[in-house]
Amino acid sequence: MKVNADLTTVIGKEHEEKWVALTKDRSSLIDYSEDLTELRDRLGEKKNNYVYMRVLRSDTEYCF
Amino acid sequence: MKRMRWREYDYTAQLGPRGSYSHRPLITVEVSYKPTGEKILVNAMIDSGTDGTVMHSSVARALKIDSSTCRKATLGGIGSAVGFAATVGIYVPDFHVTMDATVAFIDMLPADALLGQLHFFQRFKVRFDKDLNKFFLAAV
Repeated sequence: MKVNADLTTVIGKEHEEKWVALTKDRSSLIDYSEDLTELRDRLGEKKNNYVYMRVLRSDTEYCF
Repeated sequence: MKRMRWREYDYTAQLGPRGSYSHRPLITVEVSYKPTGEKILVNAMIDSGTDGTVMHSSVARALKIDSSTCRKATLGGIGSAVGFAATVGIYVPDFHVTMDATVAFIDMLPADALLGQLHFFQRFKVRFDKDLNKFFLAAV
């Protein structure tokens, strides 16, 4: 499976600091929410078909 | 000597400061918790500067981990945080490798998951070729 390595095409500033659900190839954003549990509840039985990610702020350089 | 089978990955581009792109080494892993049978796929970052494995506490809630039964976990670095530790399964689909890892779950993690030295780097050789925006993994 070819995975999309450019998330700037599917994730925007409105998704920052939120949880997003992506298709497994990361080519499409399915839904997003501030709360991961709420997001997965909305996706129901299909919740395990998607990849979840917490989107970092774009105006910040990170060191963990 | 056993020959390594390296798998190539692109760094993932995300929006960065001042209109730039930040490229990060992300891979998809499945995190599972045996007592509840729950699992979740997350885009985890490979982080050689992290001692163990760290995840956002929301991942623990998705796995229905009861944090009240877990021991405390304290993390330091730039800032410090207190969370809780629980043992989960981490499955790397590209290699069909599963490892049990005691993960520190914290609220203040800005990302979803960091794969650090104690678990991930013991199971995988990691080669960062930042000049090419590629990284390579091989199971050991």
